[in-house]
Amino acid sequence: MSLLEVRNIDVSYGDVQVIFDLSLKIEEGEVVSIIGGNGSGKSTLLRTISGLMQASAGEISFEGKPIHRSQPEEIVEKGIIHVPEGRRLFSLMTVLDNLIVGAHNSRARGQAAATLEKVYELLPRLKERHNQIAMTLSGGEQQMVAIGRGLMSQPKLLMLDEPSLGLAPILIKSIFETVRQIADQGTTVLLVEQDVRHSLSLSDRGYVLEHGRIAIEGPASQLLDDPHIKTAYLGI
Amino acid sequence: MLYIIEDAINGILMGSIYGLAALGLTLIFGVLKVINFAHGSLLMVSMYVAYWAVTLTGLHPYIALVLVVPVMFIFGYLLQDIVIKPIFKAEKNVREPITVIIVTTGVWYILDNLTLLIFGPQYRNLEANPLRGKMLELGEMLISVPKLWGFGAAVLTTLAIHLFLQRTATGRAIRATSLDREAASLMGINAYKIYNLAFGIGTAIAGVAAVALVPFYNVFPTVGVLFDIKCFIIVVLGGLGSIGGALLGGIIIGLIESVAPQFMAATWTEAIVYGLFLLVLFVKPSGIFGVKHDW
Ligand SMILES: Nc1ncnc2c1ncn2[C@@H]1O[C@H](COP(=O)(O)OP(=O)(O)O)[C@@H](O)[C@H]1O
Ligand SMILES: [Mg+2]
Repeated sequence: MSLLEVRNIDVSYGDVQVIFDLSLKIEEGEVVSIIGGNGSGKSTLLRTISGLMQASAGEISFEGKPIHRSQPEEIVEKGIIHVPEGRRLFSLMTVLDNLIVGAHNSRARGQAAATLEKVYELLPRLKERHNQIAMTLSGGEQQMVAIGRGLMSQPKLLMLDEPSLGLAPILIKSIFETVRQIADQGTTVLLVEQDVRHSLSLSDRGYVLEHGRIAIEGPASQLLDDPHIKTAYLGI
Repeated sequence: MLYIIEDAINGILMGSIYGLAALGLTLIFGVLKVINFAHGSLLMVSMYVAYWAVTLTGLHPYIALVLVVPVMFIFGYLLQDIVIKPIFKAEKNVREPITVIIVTTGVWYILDNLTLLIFGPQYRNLEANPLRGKMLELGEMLISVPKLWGFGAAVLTTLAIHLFLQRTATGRAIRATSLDREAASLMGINAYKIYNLAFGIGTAIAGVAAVALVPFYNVFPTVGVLFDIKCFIIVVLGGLGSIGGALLGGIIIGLIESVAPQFMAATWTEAIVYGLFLLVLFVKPSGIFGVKHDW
């Protein structure tokens, strides 16, 4: 049994279908990348897994149980955490309050203090800035808060939507290092990215999404050598 | 001169009670992003509950608080859960849920007319209550005692709501939902439960204001309408969704109402209030004290 199984889902915005008959699997402990250009349907896929959108066909199961009819907050309780594109911090709240809200679900709430220590260890910058209002942070710091807030909910599966978006190259490197550390500590990660080289090099497997369909899938090392990916996404 | 100071003090006290009435409205707006046009009617219902509780038991009017606050919390909670929530769900993807506003207007009409039907149009007041007409002598100045207590209730309630929102898990969840409903749901927060709670709390605050008013204010079916307009102006002055702004906005209105008639015909007072309201809308639509909102 895979940790997450997506089987043949279709997803639409009104009349416009953007995901077609898509299937994927994630095993416990894996880091899986989903890569694809702008508008290929990556965010829509994550929004469907986390329950913000409903698939019009197909099934999604987590730990063997169906979740495609569940509400977002029920899916959080089960252990899937979605760190959305564009960070979506609670802008007028402090860093610490953002992190505490991350531990709202019943699995995480009792252990919030201990989890907070771990998050501060991983992202020491957040401890320095804990009293600062989230919207006054730099882009890189905001992304760290978004990831830290996700970790506070004690994810079994952490889904990150373009964590490197809009960051300076040096920060991108440190964000990917953080993701690697999170995975090394045993959290399963589903990473959605346009930065193909970085994301594939820290992943076990990858899927390439084109126009709402899986175009290529395979071990990350193999995808990095794929001629189509080299020309279309790596510019070699 | 002394008269003006006396009027100013009584105006500040009365204004703080307006602010208390507006606090629930601003809280509900801050979370649901909807102007609750039934707010004045909920205040009116609270006043009737307080009036009858005191009349039937003969207890001190302020003891009605222990009944009115929980009753109004439950009333507001259920009103949102049963009447308003289904509209929200139907308009899930609409940015400005205008239908919700129409529904709150419907609730206003129903509550006011139901009250008229049951209790009739007459004005009622707690005639023989220990606070009625009671004055505190400050030198040559007379300060209304029930208004002074109302001021205390307004300050304490504002402080309590502020601390609740800042310091408790539920308060943080309410703030998070208010700032980004979708992101909050990704943290496991059920927005509809938060809406119920916010509506319940906002209505319970109207209950506190009602208990403060009943010892010296007439109770009648359309009393809410007077407060509706004031509350709306106060909330815009103070900043939509601003907790401290409601109290300060209320005090400004109370001051204008009490001091301005010393200098001009009373009808001008309202012109000043509305003028200020328009000025704020034009110059600083986020309100005198509001950021986008301060929590
Ligand atoms: N709210 C929306 N309403 C209608 N169409 C949308 C909406 N959001 C995204 N789309 C469309 O769905 C497609 C996939 O978008 P998205 O999942 O955001 O792609 P990606 O995350 O890969 O950039 C795009 O064609 C986009 O225009
Ligand atoms: Mg996207």
